[in-house]
Amino acid sequence: MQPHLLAKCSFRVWYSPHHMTRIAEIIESTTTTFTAGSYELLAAPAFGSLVRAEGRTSCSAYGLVYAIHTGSPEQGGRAVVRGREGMYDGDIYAANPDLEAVLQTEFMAATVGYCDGPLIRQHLPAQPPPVHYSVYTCDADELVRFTKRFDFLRSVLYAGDLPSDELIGAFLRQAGEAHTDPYAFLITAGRQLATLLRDDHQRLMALIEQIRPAM
Amino acid sequence: MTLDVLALSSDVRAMSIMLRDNLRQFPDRVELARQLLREQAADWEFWQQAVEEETAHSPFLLAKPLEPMDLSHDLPLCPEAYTVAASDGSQIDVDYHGNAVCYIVNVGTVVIQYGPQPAFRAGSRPTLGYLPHELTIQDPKTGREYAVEGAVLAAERDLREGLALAEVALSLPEELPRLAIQDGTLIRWSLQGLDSFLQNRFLGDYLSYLETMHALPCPVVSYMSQPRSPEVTGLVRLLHVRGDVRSWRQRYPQRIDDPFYGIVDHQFFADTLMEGQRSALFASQSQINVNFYGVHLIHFFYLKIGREVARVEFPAWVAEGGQLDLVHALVYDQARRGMGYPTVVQRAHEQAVIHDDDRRYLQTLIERLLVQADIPLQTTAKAASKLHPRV
Repeated sequence: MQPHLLAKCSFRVWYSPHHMTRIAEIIESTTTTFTAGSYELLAAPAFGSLVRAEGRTSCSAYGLVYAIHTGSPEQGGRAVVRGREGMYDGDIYAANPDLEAVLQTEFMAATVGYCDGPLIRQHLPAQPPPVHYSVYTCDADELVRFTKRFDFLRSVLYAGDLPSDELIGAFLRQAGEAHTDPYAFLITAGRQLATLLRDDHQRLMALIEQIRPAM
Repeated sequence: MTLDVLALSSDVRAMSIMLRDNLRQFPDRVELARQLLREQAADWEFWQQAVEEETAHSPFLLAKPLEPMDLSHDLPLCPEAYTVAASDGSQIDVDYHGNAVCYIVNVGTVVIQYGPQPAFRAGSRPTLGYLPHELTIQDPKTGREYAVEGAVLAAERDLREGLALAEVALSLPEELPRLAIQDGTLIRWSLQGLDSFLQNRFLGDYLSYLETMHALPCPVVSYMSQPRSPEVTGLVRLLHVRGDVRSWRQRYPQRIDDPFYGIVDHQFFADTLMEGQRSALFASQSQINVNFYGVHLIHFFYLKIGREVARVEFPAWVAEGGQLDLVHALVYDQARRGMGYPTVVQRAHEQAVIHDDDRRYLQTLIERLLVQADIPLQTTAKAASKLHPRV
């Protein structure tokens, strides 16, 4: 779809939350990252997923999931070993229904852009997404729209406190599956990386290896 | 100025020597007590009668045996599917050095269902007391007013915990075995120090909660970890003086002369009960229990769970209704799941607890809203001096 056609579409049609899955609620938010608590235990979006955090206005933030944590939200709370002969894994949750309520799955996302009405911008929004607002998964259409540009790659590559290369690799593999021609998409992404990492051949090759389609 | 620890060091040394001496005598004292319980177990009905007759004259608390005192009951089978509920509460007391005279009571409730259809439900209900009728209780006969703070507020919280548990118990499915658990004790010891008007008021409402549970019926118990109760110890003393409790003071005028000095109930059972076993059944002869509880007279047993011996209390109708085995099995199962402390009570506590962060946040909220309402903030000199020491 061409950009001028996108501009004609109303925001509500493209970004209505009814078309997406609400998965979590923001519990901590800064300009560069946000942390969300999953509504369902052990059901965080995959590492490298693109998620969208609802904003107070039509501006919603996009984030790449770079850390997932499950534990007790209570201060000092810690899970204990509960498995015993004949009861392991999922059986432990079935036998202890309170665990669903006293454990929480949280994930952290690095903000890589925002949507300004129908337009997607790949730089930091003026305001971080508000605490207690919803986080949605991005479907294939939204992934395709987001990856029209690769400006976000630079900020992720050079962010000091992210597992940058692993994160980019995981995201590009998932985004590739959303495109009708994954191979062409990954070639384009690889070229972008080659430009950004022209002075770091070893790092570039390691990243390319991560996104290389299986032959 | 910080505590002058050096000034205390000689006392601390003396205390440690006394504790060491007590500890050396302790095994002999406990064994003497166990021997008495064993020897007299066959005559338990005689001693039951003796306890009833001597309770009013006894200088110490007594436990009334309801079966041979040395009995141990094995752990019954636990049903695979059951429902358990619990409530717990906490409060922020009135602070007269603060900006607003008010208190908070927060009551948490939890329901857990085990079996093929596992489920969990939890909630908390915080309330702010600030209206005149919430801050004081008036005796309509005498007109005397009692401030709702300290022990009175604690009694109010206990009552709300019970009423909340009764409300939750009403929603429990009837087709599954069910149990309601409270932390601590069902005997409202804290009311003993209050005026009779307050005793009657709080106990009346509290007993109506037990009556609701009786009518449902839903067995209700309390679970006390590391109990310090000395009631079976009192029974042992009664056995030791052959029922002549009135002579105790003459025989042992000093506490240190007491042959059972320092022993509390659970220590009798620590080595005699096997994992999961419960002790014999006793009835508490505390004044408040005997005088007020009626059909809800609190009975208790001790239960071995890991390294601990816990005290489990329940109204008489639980035992009389044939639910003792169910209580035994479910309380043990809950404590096992909770690694030594009942899971459902832990979860209720988590719902009820007011953390220091919450207290600070609430204080800030109150101050902010007072300022918005154009009310000048006032802090007493005492509160200010604690916050910002002047040097």
